[in-house]
Amino acid sequence: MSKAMLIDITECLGCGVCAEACKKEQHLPGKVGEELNYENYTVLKEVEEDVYFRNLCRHCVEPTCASVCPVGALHKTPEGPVVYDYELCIGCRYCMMACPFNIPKYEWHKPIPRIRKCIMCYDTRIKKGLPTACAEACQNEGGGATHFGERKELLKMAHKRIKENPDKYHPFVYGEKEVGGTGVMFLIPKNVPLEKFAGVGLKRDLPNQPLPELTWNVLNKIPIIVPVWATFLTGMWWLNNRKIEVEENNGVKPEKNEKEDKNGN
Amino acid sequence: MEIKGIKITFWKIVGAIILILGAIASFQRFFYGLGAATHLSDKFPWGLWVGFDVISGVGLAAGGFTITAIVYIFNLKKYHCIVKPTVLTAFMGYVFVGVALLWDLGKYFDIWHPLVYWNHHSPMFELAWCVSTYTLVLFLEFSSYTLDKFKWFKKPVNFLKGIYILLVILGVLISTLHQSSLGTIYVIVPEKLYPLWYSKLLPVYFFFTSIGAGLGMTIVESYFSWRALKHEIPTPILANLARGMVVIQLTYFVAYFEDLIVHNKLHYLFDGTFYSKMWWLEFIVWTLIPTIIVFNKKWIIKRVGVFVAGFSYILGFLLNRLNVSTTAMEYSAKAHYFPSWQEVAVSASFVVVMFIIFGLAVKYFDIFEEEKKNTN
Repeated sequence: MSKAMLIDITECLGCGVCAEACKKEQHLPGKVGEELNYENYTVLKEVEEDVYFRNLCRHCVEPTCASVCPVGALHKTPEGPVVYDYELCIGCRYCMMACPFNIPKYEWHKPIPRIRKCIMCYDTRIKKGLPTACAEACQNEGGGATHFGERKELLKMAHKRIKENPDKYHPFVYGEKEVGGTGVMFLIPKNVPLEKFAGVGLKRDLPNQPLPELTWNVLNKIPIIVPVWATFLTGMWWLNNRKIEVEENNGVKPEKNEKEDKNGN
Repeated sequence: MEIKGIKITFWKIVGAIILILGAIASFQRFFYGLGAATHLSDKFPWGLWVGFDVISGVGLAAGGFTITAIVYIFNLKKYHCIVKPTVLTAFMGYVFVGVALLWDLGKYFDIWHPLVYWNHHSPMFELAWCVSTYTLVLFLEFSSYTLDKFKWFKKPVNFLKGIYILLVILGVLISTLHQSSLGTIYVIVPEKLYPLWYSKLLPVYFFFTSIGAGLGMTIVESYFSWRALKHEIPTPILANLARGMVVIQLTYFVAYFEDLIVHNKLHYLFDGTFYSKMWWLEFIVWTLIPTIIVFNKKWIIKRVGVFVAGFSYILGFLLNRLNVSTTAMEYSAKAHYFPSWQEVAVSASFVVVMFIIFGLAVKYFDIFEEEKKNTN
C-alpha cells in the first residue's frame, strides 16, 4: 500500500487552488510564491502559454534525502509520504545537496532553522485515510489535474490515458522509473517539448537506478575491507619488526643498518 | 614594538584582525542565522564551511595516520622525529573540524545526534562516527608521549605505550574509512556534479590523495616550525616525504585519467569553460609543479625546494576538494557561489587559532625532542 499522486499536466488550468490549500493545511506563512522555499511546499510554473507545471516533493520510492540523512530525520513511511522529524535533524543540509529534484528547503533567516518540504499531508490526512489537501482542492475547485490514490492504480490510469490518446501525451509517465520511481508522477502534453519541462523540475538526465544504491554499494564494502586491511597492516608490522629482531640476533645492530640507509640515499 | 612584554609582529597583527572579524561573523551567524552570515541559499546549501573546514580539513589532517603507519607499521624509523608534531597537528585538525562544524550545522547543539540516532546508509553518519573515534585515538596517541611528564599519569601512559601499535593500526583503519567517505558523499549526486570531477571511484581517489596531503602537510608544517620556532627537521627526510607524495599523486592521477578516458570525458578538458580552466589550474598546482620539483635533482635537495613542492601540493589538494564541493556543484545548481567575508573570516580564524595552539604546544610539550639527535 503506497499512496501517490498523478498530475496530468494537460488538465491543469493554472488556477493555483492547490498551492492555497497547501498553505492552509500546513499553516505556512506568506502569500503563494513562485519558487519552492520555506513558506511554499508547492508552486505552479508557467512553462508556456496555458501550460503549467506544479513542483512539489516527489516522495520517491527510494528517497535520496532519507538515505543521506545521518540521523534518519527524513524517512519513508509505509503509507508512501516521505516525512521529516525536526527533533532528530541536525541541520547539515545533506538532503538539500543530494535531492535529485532540489526539493528540501531551509529556513535561512532563522538562528535555529528547519528543513521544509511537502510531507504529503501525512499527519493530518494520509494517516486518516484522506486525500492530500492539494489533490482535494484540485478535484473540487480546480481543473482536476491532480489525482490521488494508490501508486499502482494511478500508473494503470496513466498508461490507459496514454494508450487512448497517443497524440495528447508524451509516451511515458514521468516518475514511473526515474531514480527508481517516485510517488508524484506526471503526464506531459505532447505539444510541448520535454526540454521546456527539464528546466523547471522534470530533469531528463536522471538514471532509473535509485540513487541510494550508489552510496550503499560503497558503504556495504566496509565490513569486507576492514578485516582484510587489518590483517594486512598487522602482518606488515609483524614482518618489519621481525626483520629487526633477526638482524639483532645476527649481531647487526639496527642503528648501523639505519646509517647504511642514510648513506645509500 | 613591544606592549607589556608582548612582542608585536606583523603576523600577530594580521592574526588579531582575523580573529576580531571572525568573532563579529560568529555573532552574526549564531544570532541572525546562516542566511545573514553566509552566501548560502536553497540553491547552494553547502559552501566554504563544508568544503574547506570539513572536506579539506579532514584531508589535511591525514598526516596523523600516514606518518604513524610509515614509522610503526612499515618500521621506517628514521621518520620517527616527525611523528609527534604530525600527530599533534592531526589531533588539532580533527578537533577543529568538529568545532568548525558547529558554525555550519543549523542545530549545532544536536551535533551528537549521529552517535545516538543511526542511519548506516548515510556516508555522513559514517563520517561522524569515524571522526569522533579517530579524534579519541589521536588524543590517546598524543597523550602517550606528552602526559608522562605528570606523575599521576605515569601508569595510564605506560599502558598506552604498551598498546601503541594497536592505536596505530586502529587509526589507519578508521582513517581509510572516513577519508574515503568524504568522497562517498558525492557519489550520490551523479547528475549534479560536473563530469570532470564525478566518478564512482571518488572514495578511492579521496583516500589515496589524503595520504599525499598528509605527507604534504608534514613538509609544510615542518617548514613553518623551522621559520617561526627554529625547530629543524633534516631536509633529506622531508625530501623523501616529497618523493613519496609525488609517487602517490602520479599513481592517483593515472587511475583518475584512465577513468576520464573510459567515460569519454576528455573533451571537457579542452572546451574552454570555467570548469576546464579550474581543472587545468588544479592539475598544474596539484600534480605538475610538485612532480617537476621532485624530479629536479638541484631543487629537491634544498629546503625551499622541498617546501615549494609540499606547499604547491597542499594548494592543489585544497583546489581539488573545493572544486569537487563548490565548482563542480555550481554546474547543476545554476547558481554562482562565492563565500561571504563572514565565511572566510570564520574559516581563517580557525587556521589562526591552530597556529597559536601549535606554537603553545611546542613550547610546553617536548614534541621536537629528537631534533638534536637527528641534526647532528
